Amino acid sequence: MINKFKLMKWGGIIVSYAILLFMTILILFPLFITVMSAFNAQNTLFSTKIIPENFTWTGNFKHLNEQTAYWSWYRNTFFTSLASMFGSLIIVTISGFIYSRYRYRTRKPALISLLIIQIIPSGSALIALYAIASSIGIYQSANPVLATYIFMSFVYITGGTTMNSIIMKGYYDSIPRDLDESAKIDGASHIQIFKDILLPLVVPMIIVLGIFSFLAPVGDVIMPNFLLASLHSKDTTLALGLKSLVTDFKNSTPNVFAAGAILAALPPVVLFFVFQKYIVGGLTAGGVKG
Amino acid sequence: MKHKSVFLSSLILPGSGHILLKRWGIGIGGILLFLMEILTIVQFIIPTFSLLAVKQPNGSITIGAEPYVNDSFIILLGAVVGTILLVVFALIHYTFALNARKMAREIAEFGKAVSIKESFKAVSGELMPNLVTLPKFLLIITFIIIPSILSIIVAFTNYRMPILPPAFLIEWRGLENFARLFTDDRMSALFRDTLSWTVVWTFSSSILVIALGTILAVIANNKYIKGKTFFRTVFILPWAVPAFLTILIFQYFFSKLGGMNSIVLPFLTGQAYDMDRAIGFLIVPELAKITIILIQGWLGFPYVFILVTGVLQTIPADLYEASSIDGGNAFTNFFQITLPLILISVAPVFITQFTFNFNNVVIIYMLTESVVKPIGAEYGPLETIASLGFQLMMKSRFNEAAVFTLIVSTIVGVIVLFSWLKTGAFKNEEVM
Repeated sequence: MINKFKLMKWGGIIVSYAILLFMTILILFPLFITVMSAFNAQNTLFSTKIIPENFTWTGNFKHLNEQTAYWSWYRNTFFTSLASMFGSLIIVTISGFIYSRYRYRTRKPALISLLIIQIIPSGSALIALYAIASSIGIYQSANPVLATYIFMSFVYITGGTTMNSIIMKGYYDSIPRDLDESAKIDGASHIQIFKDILLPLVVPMIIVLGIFSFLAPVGDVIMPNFLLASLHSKDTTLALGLKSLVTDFKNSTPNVFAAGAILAALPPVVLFFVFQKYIVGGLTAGGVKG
Repeated sequence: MKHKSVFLSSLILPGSGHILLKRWGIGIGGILLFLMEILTIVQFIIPTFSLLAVKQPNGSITIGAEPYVNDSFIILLGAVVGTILLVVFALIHYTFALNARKMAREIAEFGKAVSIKESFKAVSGELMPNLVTLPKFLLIITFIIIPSILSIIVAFTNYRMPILPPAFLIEWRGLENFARLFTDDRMSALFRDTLSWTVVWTFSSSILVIALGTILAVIANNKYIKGKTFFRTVFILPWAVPAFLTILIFQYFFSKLGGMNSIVLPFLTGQAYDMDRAIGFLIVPELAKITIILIQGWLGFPYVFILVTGVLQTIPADLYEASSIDGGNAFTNFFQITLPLILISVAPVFITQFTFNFNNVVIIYMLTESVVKPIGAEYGPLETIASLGFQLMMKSRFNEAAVFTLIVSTIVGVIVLFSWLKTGAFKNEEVM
């Protein structure tokens, strides 16, 4: 009897390891091949070996630097990301504090309207956004590129504030109110309570929401497709620029794309792994709350 | 009864009630506000609304009277802004009336009302939070509400290439665009085919993501498994790399030149790579449909994996101890403790996954180009309702696109609202 149980237990563990390892290969292999092809000389269209025969450290990166507007795409994308991250963080931190700590008549209607507005899929406003952008004249302005990116940042900021305000408010709620009460007795003002007591305590959630509002513009291919359509191809974002590298086989090879993809993936992946603990914690807290 | 007349007169003319009560300051302020409202209505709202539907000699009803002179889209925009302003005016009147009534009651009861200074002190607690959150709501109105309303309106017009303002006037078409989904042969066939694939795509990709994430989390959190941190780190990777990059990587990986054909298949079958025999994973429609679902599984499972891992770590160990005292083994532990607890916390994820994949335009838009279209078809077999709306937008067929996005938004809205009403999110003090 005991032998049978032991056999089942060991069999289970071996099967478990097999599944986990299989999944690990499934995840790492495509990424690994991409990394390898970034170091494959660009005249080779495909490779039948995992380690490229025509190994080159810098060839594809040089091509990226000289033949494409890669760094312009890079700058545009991360400018938008930073702008929308800071914008939405300021709004979300302050309004979360208000919703959690103040009781006023329009508070509940405000929260319910945020919840309902949040349902509207972001794509549903797209038709009008481009028409609005052109009818308020951002494409005819003195600096159309900058104006377009500022307009786009506002759209991202707004899109990120609805649900995030509610998540942030939930996080403030988890901090006991006794803390503010005792500070108030000691004579602290509302601003001091917010700045000195609560703000340091909500930093983990600020990090999580900051990362997600930073990453949302990086991965978006839908909105830039419309809003940037009338701009020059060097003024586009990373997502659209890299997509053009894949479709445009004449001027580039998959190896150049791979080099660009690695540089583009670097900031998000580093952010993710540095703040992994916060992300997992924030997700679990948010997930439990609903 | 005075408070009733004061209320009604303030409702029509803000400030009049306060003047009747001899509160000159607020009264005059209200009158000035009213004059400004009249000015906006005469100068902006009436001219805009009068251009909203102009009957042309040929019988059509257009937005704006003359091309180039009137830009139909700006008129629509103005009409939406005007409507919002009218609502704001009504709210201001109502607030004035409420305040006047309260004052009249206080005068009747105590002989005097609270002074302006004191009442201002009382409302400052109300005013501050509203003022601080006001910019956010202004942004939401400008960048979400107004564009969404405009997009809905477009569905009832003929706004599409080449009828683009200001060179052309947009015409009202009523429900014609919706009717075409059923009456027009090509449109109805497209709608039917897309709908069935949309359902298949939404269900299979969501279920794959949830199943994969849950199973891997349960296995990786088994106490006999070593190297948990390593597996967790690897399993987060698909989430950390931006999705558009991985989708592009897979597009190349599954192409005839890519790693799947040139490295993986020769390794598995032992046959050397031959480009003529390479399989078009994203070219043959049936294969492409399977491939795209698998790719979405790869992309989406880390989210569920992390969520379930979090749940597993919060299950108290006492539960398992108690079970082992009662003679429970690994199987009963799993099916009677672990699984029910996971299912409870994963249930809301079903809703978010369904709505996300139903709405997931990015992956479809990126992978659809290479798939072979049926002869004569305008759109590829991978298009869903949501991505079709997007494709129509790209071709400047705005009115048809609006119909599709309206369908998508309605379905998503109904599902989410229904699930919230079921779970009582609106009553829950945790959320509110």
